[in-house]
Amino acid sequence: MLSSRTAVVVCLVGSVNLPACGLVTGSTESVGHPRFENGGLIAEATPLSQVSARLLEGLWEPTAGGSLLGSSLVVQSSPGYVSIFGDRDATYAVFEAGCLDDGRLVLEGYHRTAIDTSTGLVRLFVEPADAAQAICDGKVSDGPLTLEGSFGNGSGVPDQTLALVRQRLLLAAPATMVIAHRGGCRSSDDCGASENSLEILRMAQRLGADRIEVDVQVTSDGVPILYHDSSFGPLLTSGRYCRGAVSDFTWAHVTQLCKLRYGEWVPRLDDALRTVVEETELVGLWLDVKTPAGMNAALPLVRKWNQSAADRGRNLRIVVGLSTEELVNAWLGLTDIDDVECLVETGVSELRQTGCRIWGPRWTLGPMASTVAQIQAEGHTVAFWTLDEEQFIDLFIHQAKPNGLLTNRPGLVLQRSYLAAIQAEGEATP
Amino acid sequence: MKWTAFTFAAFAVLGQVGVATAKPPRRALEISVQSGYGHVWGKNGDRSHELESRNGGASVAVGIAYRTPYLFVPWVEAGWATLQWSRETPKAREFSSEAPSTSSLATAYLLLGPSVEEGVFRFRAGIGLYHQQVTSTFAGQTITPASWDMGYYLAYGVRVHDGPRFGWGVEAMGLLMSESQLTYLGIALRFWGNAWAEPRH
Amino acid sequence: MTAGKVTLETATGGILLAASLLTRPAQAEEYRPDFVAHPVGPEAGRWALGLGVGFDVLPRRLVEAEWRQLPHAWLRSRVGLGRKFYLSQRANVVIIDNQFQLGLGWGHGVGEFAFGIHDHFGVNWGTMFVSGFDAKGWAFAHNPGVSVEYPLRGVITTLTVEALILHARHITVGEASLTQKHITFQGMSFGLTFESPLESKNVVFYGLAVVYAKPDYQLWLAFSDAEQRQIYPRFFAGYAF
Repeated sequence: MLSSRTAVVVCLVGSVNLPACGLVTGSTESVGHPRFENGGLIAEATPLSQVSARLLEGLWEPTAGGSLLGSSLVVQSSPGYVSIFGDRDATYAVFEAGCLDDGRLVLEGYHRTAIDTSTGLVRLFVEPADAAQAICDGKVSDGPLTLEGSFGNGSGVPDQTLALVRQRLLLAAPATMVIAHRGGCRSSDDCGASENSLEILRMAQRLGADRIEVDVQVTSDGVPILYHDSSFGPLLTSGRYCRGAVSDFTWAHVTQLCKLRYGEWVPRLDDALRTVVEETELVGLWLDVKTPAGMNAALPLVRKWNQSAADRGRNLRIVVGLSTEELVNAWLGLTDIDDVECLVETGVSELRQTGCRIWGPRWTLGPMASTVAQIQAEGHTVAFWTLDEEQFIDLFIHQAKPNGLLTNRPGLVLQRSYLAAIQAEGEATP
Repeated sequence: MKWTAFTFAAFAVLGQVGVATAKPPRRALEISVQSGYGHVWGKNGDRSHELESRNGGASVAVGIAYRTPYLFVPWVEAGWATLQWSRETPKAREFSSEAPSTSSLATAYLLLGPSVEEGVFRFRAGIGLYHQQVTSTFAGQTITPASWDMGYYLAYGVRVHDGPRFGWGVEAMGLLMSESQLTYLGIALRFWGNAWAEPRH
Repeated sequence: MTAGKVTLETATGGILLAASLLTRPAQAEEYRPDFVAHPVGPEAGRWALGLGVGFDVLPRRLVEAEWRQLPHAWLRSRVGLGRKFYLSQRANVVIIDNQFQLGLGWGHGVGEFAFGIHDHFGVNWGTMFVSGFDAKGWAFAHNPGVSVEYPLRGVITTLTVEALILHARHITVGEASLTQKHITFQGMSFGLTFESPLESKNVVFYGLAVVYAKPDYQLWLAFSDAEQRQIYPRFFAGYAF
């Protein structure tokens, strides 16, 4: 084995080879969250119902520990979880909530800062006690509502005070659709799972998204899979032999040689669509098909799972994204595709030519406020990609007024869009 | 640490032979071939299905260096190294009835950089391209994908015999494939001849 | 991508190979070439002009792409002002990330060593028409630094340490723009430059630097919301007249 001192010498000289220097054990990278010992208090609690969890939603402000999450916090629930989204460095917190035998309502989970991935444990209790009891019973609590508890760093016991008070309820829905990039976030964002994995699809809502975007490539034997790059490599995968063009691998070889960066399977598109339809409440799925072959392989699956969603009464739109002229031309060459929704990322002329309902321009073209307004007036939906910085998110929300934003920071976009909507509401109210 | 100390000590001993026999030219266009054996470190992923494996393997390379009496001696080298080989049982349930897979990883490389020569000792550093080549047979099909990576090279060695026309020596080398996060460390025997030489006076 | 990498490597290697074919030790008594990195600048009225190529290997965490190498064309020039002062100009150009700076330096030799201080002011700017990135931006840059030199067997070896500071930044995306007016300390750069005098009395220079800076220091990465400084290497080689 390479000794640590020799490894340091090698590593200092080959300074960009740090991952190889650190990982001499042959293990896969991991990106877990800190967890309370023995499952924490949640292990002894009755899980909070979805109806009751919604009673915690609102716009909150910190009265102590504001340095953790920021000043204007959006609390939103998703199946099985309650999340808090702040504006300090795109920090968010994800909790499981449960009602204890002594009447207390506890939230336990972790906080994470998206821009540098610092994390730690958080435990909060709903106060006052009668409000906690009411929420556990699924009843609305009229009085003031606070969350009081503590947070820590890393796996350390929470020992810093955190207290929040609710200022108001949220609006019915945010003005802006929050579309999570690559299924939830990129692998490098360390949000809990690899990008384009089944695991991240299940996490997307608790990260703040109600819609997701995933990338589709095709193997040499025509199996569409979720994967962003045209080649497998160590940036997104683990596996000694997981190298080379995706189109050079059969599906069998993908399962045998490749896992995603944090150890998950590379999913087939079929399995990903099943997961979205059967295991989530996402309302939108944008398929960024990279090639015409990928588009052709995806279409039967889109139809199949659109039907399955309809049969289940799911409110879900699966949209095929056309990101290049080649894909637009391939789409125009298809017949009998009126039952499949599409999205155009190129220009307005291609949008009109294809008859697609959604326009997805890249954000570096600028807000294009007048063009966006005109396209929206024609009945189209507009969603910019991909915005992560707070100042640019605010700029686009206020100037372009798009229907949606594609982002690696879904919680931040959610928080900014709610604040913008509340601000607009305040300006509208005399 | 022990491995590093051992190679330094071994090279120091060999270097005494080099010092005793050295008659190197003042300037020379040196063409070399080297062959060695090494071991690989880096991310290996899931190995729980492995039946057998071989880590590392042989390497061969040819190079050209322009030796001068000054500090840096530039060199160019092209080579090939075996990195890994393994047999693994099927991992996915849908292929559980298939025969084990056989896969291998090798790399070709093209590197260049400066070297510093101090007496009979030589330290080399370089930058270049690695062409990673995979061969894998599974479920009745064989695939041969490949990818290009950028990376670095480090080596230190000793000239055991350094004559006016030919010589040979030993080198400890490291192929640092930074994009692939793999490091190949090995020991190689080098033989060189001078295509052109300006003798020492 | 592959052809570009091979071309870059070949060009760099070609310069190094050519240098060694012509290298001779510096003859301090009769002639001192005009270097572009040596702490002591040219004598009064003399100038040195350097042209070269370089590339940065941008950090993996920030560059979500298979292509992380950012090449630049390099231009360096110095004019001696007398009393050991010199005027310096530096430029790195690649369209998406360009830097142009003017500066003043002073150097002094002590025995075999030489020491110098310098300060450069300039503009970083970039304009991007690569698919998916259409923004423009500029920023005022300020790079104060120190350097120390020691000749290693005829090769002028200079270690340069610089602070990377940005004053004001303006970014335009479409019809929208953002301006930041505060001064930010972006990070540090540590460079090692080797200058080999040639028989033709010109100089070949080559070396590497390690940049430790915030992701948005280089305009190409101006839209990163990550705050942590990243380490990445920079390689360069060129020819000075």
